[in-house]
This record gives sequence, structure tokens and C-alpha cells, in this order.
Amino acid sequence: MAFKELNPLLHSELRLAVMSILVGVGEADFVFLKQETGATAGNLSVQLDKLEKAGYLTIEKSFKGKRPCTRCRITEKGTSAFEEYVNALESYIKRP
Amino acid sequence: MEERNWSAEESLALIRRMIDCTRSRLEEQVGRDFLRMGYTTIAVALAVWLALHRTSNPAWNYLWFIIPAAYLICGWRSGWFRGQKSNRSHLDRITGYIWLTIGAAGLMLSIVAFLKPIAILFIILVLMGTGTAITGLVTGFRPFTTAGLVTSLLLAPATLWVEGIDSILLFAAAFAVLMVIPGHIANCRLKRGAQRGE
Repeated sequence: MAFKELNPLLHSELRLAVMSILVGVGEADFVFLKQETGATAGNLSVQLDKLEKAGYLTIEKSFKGKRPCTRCRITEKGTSAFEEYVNALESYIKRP
Repeated sequence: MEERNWSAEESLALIRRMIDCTRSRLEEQVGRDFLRMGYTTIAVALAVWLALHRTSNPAWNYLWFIIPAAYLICGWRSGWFRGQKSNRSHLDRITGYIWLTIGAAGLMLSIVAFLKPIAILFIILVLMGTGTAITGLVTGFRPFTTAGLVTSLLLAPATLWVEGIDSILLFAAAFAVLMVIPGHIANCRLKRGAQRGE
């Protein structure tokens, strides 16, 4: 069986965790992602920027009253990339 | 969470863990809501029964409207009436819509019951039992399904055979079966899972 290449952008713990959560909920705010992943705010910000630059998610910044609120939403490109990544993982796991 | 590369197996395990987290969060939220609503309904039912038993004044039946008010507050706190879209899984949205619909139907029937005599306790138990059973089927949490079916198929019809205000006591007991017990089971399961580090 031919091994598919693993997407280097997703083959990383924090970015993969973020995408896994967003595949489940569609849209999540920064605080939720930080809580679920256990990442620091700075590290999470950097990784979200990378995913946004790749077109895998969109980031919307707004305010809830006076508090800043950052919401991330997975894109179609992100969902497709995630599905391809999971299929590629399976090709590694099923190898003889 | 460290920034490092993982093996294929570790990646799949991480994906599974993150998806399970969102599912656990839904169970936690539903379990908490069930406990709030279950205890509120039981408290109101017992208060109405006691007031009617002591005074025989039917005006005490207006206390029943505390229950839909409590549902609305529960929905508000869960973000349903504030347009909160973030952090909700597809299952979360579905269960929310189920209970919005059932809540609206329950409120409408409660208002009708004040204008026309209907077997309101029976109808509410069938409605709530059906909602709980559907929630159990959608979330895959069997205690909800079992509690819902037992309530709508056994306990609800039983209220038709109990005479007078004592049917309210059966109604209260039914809500313990319908919401309180499964709510506590959901909480216990989550606590056990947290202790195991899941």
C-alpha cells in the first residue's frame, strides 16, 4: 500500500488538536480552544495564525461588552485537509 | 501542549481524545441541565401538592409556571437565547433544538390546561419522556433513553389512574426517574472519567 504524505501543517500536536476540536464544533472561541488544548495563549495564537494563513480556518475578532473575543471557524479547505490527513494516517496504520 | 511531531498512532489518539472531550462536555451540560430541571420540577410539584392539600384553593396551580420560567433561565444560561453559536457541536445544537421545541409545546399545553380541562400531567410526562428518550438516542447515553421510555410508556399512563391531587406526587416521582437519576448517572460517569484521566 502506498503511503500518503502527512500534511506537515497538521502533523503537529497543537495544530492537530485545534483542528480536531473545530471539526467537531465548527466554530470555537479562543478561550475554549485554550482550555481544551491546555496550550498557552501565546503558543495557541501563533498556531492559529499558521492555520489561518493556510486557509484552514478563519479568525474573527470582536468584543463582548468590553472584553475582546476571538472566534475561529474551520473552512471547507480545512475540513478537506483534515479528512485527507486522517486518510493518510490510516494508510500508515494499516501498513503490513 | 508541547509543539512536537507525533507518530501516526499518537495523532489518531489525539484526534479521538479531542472529539471525546467535546462529547463529554455535551454530556456534562445535559446532565447539569437535567438535574436543575428535575429538582425544580419536583420542588414545584411538591409545593403545589402541599398547597392544594392544605387549602384546596386551585389558584395555587399558577405555581406550575415556575417550571417553564426555569426552563427559560436554563436556556439563557446555556446561551440559547443569546445567539451563542461558538463551542457547540452538531449534537449540542440538535439537543438544544429538541428541548426548545418541547419546552414551547409544554408551555402551550400548560396554558391550554388552564382554559380547558385536559390530562396535563399525563401529557407533560409523555412529552418530557419523549424528549429525554430522543436526547439519549442522539447522544448515545443509554440512561436517558431508558428513563425517557419508562416515563412516557409506564409512569405517564399511571397518572391517569391516580385520583385527585395525589397524581401530582406520582408526577414528582416520575421526574426523579426522568431527569434526576439520569442526571446523577451522567455526573458520576464524568467524574469517574476525569479521575481516570480521560
